[in-house]
Amino acid sequence: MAGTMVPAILAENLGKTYTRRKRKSGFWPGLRAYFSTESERFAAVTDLSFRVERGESVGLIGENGAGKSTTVKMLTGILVPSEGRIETLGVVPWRERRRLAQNMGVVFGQKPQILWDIPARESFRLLKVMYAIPDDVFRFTYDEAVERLELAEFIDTPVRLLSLGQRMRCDLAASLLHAPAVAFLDEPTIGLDVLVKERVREHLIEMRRRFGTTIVLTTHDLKDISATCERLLVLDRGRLLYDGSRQGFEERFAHGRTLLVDLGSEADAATRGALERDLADDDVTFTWDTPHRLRVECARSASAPKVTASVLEHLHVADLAVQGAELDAIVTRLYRTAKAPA
Amino acid sequence: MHALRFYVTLYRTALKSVAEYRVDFAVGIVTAISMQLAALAFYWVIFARTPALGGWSPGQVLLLFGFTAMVLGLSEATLNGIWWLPYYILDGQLDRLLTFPVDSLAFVLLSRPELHSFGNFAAGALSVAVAWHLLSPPWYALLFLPLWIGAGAVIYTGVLVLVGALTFRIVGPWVTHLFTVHQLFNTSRYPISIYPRWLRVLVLYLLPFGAAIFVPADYLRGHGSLWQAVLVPPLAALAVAFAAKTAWDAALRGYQSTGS
Amino acid sequence: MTTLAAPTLRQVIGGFCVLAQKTAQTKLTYRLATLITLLASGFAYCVFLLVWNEVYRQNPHAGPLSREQMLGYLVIAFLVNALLILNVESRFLQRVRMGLVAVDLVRPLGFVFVQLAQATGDLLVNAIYAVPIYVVGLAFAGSALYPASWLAAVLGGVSVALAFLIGFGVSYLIVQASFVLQSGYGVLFARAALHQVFSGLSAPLVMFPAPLRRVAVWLPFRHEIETPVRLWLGQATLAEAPRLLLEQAAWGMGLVLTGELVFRAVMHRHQIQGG
Repeated sequence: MAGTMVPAILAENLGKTYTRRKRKSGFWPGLRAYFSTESERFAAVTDLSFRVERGESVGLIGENGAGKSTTVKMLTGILVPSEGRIETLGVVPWRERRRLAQNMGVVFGQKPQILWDIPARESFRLLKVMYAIPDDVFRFTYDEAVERLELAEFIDTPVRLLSLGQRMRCDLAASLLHAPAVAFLDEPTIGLDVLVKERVREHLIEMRRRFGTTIVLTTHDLKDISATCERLLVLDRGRLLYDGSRQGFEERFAHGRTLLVDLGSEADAATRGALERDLADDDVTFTWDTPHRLRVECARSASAPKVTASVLEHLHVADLAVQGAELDAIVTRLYRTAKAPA
Repeated sequence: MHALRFYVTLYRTALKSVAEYRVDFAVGIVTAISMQLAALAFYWVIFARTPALGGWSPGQVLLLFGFTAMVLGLSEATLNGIWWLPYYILDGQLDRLLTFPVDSLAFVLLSRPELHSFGNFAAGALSVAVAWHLLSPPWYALLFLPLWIGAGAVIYTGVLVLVGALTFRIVGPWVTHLFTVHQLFNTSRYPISIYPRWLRVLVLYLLPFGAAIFVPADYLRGHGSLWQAVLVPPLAALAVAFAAKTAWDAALRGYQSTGS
Repeated sequence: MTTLAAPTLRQVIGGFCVLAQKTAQTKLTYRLATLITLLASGFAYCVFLLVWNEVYRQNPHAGPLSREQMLGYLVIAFLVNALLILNVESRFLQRVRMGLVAVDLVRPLGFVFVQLAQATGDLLVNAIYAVPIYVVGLAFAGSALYPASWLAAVLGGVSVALAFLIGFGVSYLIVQASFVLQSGYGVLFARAALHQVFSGLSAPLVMFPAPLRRVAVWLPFRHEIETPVRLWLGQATLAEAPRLLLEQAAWGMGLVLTGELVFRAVMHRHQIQGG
């Protein structure tokens, strides 16, 4: 539908402002609000610019209300942006929604997408007709979904009898049956257990490998992102906080590592002092949570092996863990700092 | 061609889903028939006090009643989904529908047939049969019956969509605005001659339920011309369908989803 | 197992008021929806008026009531009806859809009181709309809408309160039916049909053909509309009044109690089946 040079997604200075009627609590204020037509405006997304190439896999993260869903809804043509330019697969989504839809797969994980109470197999059959999926493509995507997501045991059960996780799996399968050029997955692993989450990730990876699907994934489970995305977009209160590779993100925002040390026996003051003197030249800080638990925050310049060796030498260590290099910890810290008053 | 195949599959799938609940089906039919009986009961009260209403005999009024019920039944049996729009919006299902490569309005309309419609349709057909027997119009008029009922269903549904497009603005679990349309539609049950001028204009030209019900009925009782009865209903249906589609598209532009 | 303290009367009344107020507030938020509903029922009502208008135009002595009496009756009947449109069932069905019924079931107030409180909220909001309509109606129809006397006004008021109880009782029974059925809308419409014929919404029972009247007398619906309207307008004699009010009270209590018994049976079954 578009030339090869056309990016999968192009957003320039994108913004979305909602208008809501003011509501007041209390009977009399409520009554007064009834007669007024006051409304308030609320900017969900502000000045968002980014570009996603074909075949890329992008993780869109941010806290609740950061504007993830609004962004996805604009990219898929459900919402009309208030300002800025937007193109998905070379078309303006809301203007050519149907043309785009033929090449797009969508999952909204937070809301049940069950329109009817029929077995999933029948929904899949309807989708095959809807997208006019060629037999060979359908055979592949269908079999892949049924096997990978283990749908076989409940594919003929009316959906009202399925668990949330089972429905979610059916939804995901349904959204990718037509091997779309781009897939928007808004929290596709919500409410799934660890093993199933793994299956979902494998399914996404397989679909990408086979069809070069561009994936935009929003999630609260950062393991989804670690497993499937190379690139991260971090949103905070409607603005883009970070756009770049996952590694780059980790390097830029990981301020080193934290060593968590559990002690077999309490360390006396002398031992503590000796350890601190030993590492005086390194950029580390010591925090004693309890007499049995020590946290050593190492800056990026500090040598982790040296710090570890020194700790092992001076203290009677029961257990040792390194924390902070993972995406999870970085993002948590990032949210905390973003929230703190400037 | 492909689109047609899809919509047929869609409707069949939707029908199968509704048919899952058998008790509801039975209750629905009983309900529909009791609603129609209630309306007939009011005729009974009226015609116990007067031999004719606005120049229409009981048999002629029965014809209006039968047409109205058949149109209602046909619309509910096929294009009933608009009544579910508020729930689709609240549940976020409309968002999902909008990501399908098919016409969202057609999808919504076909997605929820109402099984009790068959009760309405049957009650209407029975009344038309009785009225037909009483009035004995020319035999060939029967050929146009499907056209009239079909056009009526398009007009009724079309007006529901026009008003239903408001749902995008007033997000709430209510179908009251659609119920208003339903009430307006019920004016077709009585001779248009008893209404004041503004109301006649409203139900003949603006929300032209009368075009598909009153105009053919007038012909069948030997007043209006056949040409008028054959041409007016489909033309009105086309106009309403066009207006409804335009309103729907405009409403989607202003759609705010459920936020977040 | 320790005995839990039952909520005190003050707590019950307090909870009741809070719920009623919350319901009223929610309803006021959807002002457009409410206005449209009113417009719809007002419109449907105009059709009745127009039909009767035509009947009396052809024959001024079409029935035992005069044209003016009929007009007064129909307008007041519309107002009583507008006052008593309760969203008990539709609210319940909505909560079923949203999966919120469990919340109602565990409230300390008791399910029937929760529903009654919400219905009271509906009544409050309806009154906000009904009173201005009455005032406007006075400007047009004047004396046809006045209560016959101070006593008639009081009797009419009491009768409306009892009609509210009957309407709530029927709704509460429908809610029970919705527990059993997948979609409760069917029953809801069936009730509307019965109500429309037998409540006297479209004509007082004296205008009915004899067989229809005989059925109407044995149903509760006429006490929802016809009885309060006739008491207000003085179309019912004072001698009739005590019997009418007693019948209303009996129907109201009977319906609510029946609903509550069915509710307990349904809950019992649910608990056993692990509904």
